[in-house]
Amino acid sequence: MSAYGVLFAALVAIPLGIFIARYRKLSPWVFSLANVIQTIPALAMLAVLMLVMGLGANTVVFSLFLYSILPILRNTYTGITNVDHSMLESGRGMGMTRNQLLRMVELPLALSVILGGIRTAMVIAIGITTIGTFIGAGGLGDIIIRGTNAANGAAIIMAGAIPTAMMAIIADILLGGLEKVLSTSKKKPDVSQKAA
Amino acid sequence: MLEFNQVTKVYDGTEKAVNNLTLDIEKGEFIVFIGPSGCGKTTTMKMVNRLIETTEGSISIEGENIKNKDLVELRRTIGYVIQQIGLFPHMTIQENISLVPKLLKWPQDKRRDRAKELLKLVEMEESYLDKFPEELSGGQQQRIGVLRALAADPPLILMDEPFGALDPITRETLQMEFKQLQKSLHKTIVFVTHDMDEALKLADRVVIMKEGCVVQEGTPSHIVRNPANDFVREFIGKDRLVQNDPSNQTVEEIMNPNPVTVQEDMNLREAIKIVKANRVDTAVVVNEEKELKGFIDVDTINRYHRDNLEVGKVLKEFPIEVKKGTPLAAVIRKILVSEVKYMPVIDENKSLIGIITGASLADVVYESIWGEEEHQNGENETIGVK
Repeated sequence: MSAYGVLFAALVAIPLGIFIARYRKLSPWVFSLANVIQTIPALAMLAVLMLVMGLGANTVVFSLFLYSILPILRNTYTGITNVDHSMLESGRGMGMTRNQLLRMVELPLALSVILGGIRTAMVIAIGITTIGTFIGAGGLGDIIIRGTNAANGAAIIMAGAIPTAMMAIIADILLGGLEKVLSTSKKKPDVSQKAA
Repeated sequence: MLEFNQVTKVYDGTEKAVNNLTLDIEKGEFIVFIGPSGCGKTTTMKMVNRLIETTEGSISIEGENIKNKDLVELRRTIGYVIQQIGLFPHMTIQENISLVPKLLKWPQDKRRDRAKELLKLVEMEESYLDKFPEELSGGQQQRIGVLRALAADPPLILMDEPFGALDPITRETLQMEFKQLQKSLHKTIVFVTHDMDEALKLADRVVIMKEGCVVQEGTPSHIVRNPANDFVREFIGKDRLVQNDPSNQTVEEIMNPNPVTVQEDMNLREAIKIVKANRVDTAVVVNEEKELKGFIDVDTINRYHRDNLEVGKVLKEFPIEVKKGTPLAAVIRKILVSEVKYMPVIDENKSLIGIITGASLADVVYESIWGEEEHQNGENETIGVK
């Protein structure tokens, strides 16, 4: 469930990030919109979306989608705008078209930063998915809620919370590893950290 | 091969970065644009591959206006090397070198062969092909940067301070290597730098720019011998100027242009005051039109100072006068043969324009031995020995 939300968000946010990196005047507008979405509390978001989309997993996926946009968008934008100017100049000087420049230079160089964004989004998403239980989406959240309702539910709560935390950590580690593999510009590994 | 025709570039509507530049560059020529920062040299170069568009005028390559060419095609036929090197960190050396061939859709084998061939040019081993740029030293990286520009065998290569970021020793090595390379490959090269040593070392022709205009152009030796004005002279720097070749010098260059003079119709007492005030042993006598009449010296003064005569009555004539424009070599011989102490320099109207003294000759000798720095402390060494 979490993965779907993030995936859809990536499909939208990465092209959008590339777009606003190219037309930078648009970036403040897009970012403030994404920021507004991010500030809505998860529970409120789910409640509002539930009114429109009804109960179920789709609503949760959609809200995850909305939450994931900002980190991915921001990192895509940062990644692309941070590509060294000299790279672009030598690329253009060698006669690359705008698209070749994007495909062969900008995206590969920004990839690790973009992945950093996806990683952040993924961790947030796993947390939010737990709350999805309130609108009947199932998942590990169910177990936690059952624990809170039970008379002595600490063990049950743990049974839900620990796997959730584990999932988040494992996802983070996996994506972090992927990021490292793809990161060729070892010179500035702090960029992704900062952006994330 | 490459022609600039009244090219002007205006930034922000007012500031002329390049002003009405006209220049012809021959095939195979190594042209270096040089000047202080902001003089328009980089702008000029970038207009060639249209990273910057011209505002007015035209640039043509092999007679064809670059504006009529497809932008991308144009750039693929011009090599480009920048100061920051700009190798792509996510590509191997081979991929970096053969990028333009890849854009031009050469087959893979041919690209790899070409990369190998190029590495040989700079005497680097084939094992570098699969390394990444960050595993190379700065000097090696820029060698690759140069090879990348050569990859598709473009006739014209633009270089924007390519060796500027390297340490002096590496820079020197690369300069020599590159000069050799250029000689063997016969490329036309447009090279931008602010380093005069580099320009003089590499260029077939140096173009000195200031505030968007060409101040002087010519071969390195021409510029060093005949700087067009003070700006060029200062830019070249005193220690690079060639002044130790008397055969090229004329008398004006070494004469003292402000000798102590007295008027022909002064009386001797006034003249003595002038001589005394300037602490010289000889003064040149001229009339109101500055026409040369002769000289008075200590001997004259000694003999006539009691009689208050007019200077014109007691002056002696110079045994030798030289016209301006006379080569120095001829004068030196005359002075040595005739043992005269002073030699006035006159123009066509017989007006005095300066004087050559033993000290001037001494300067010539010193300069040729030690360079220029020591001399010129004597504006008032004037005529003769103090």
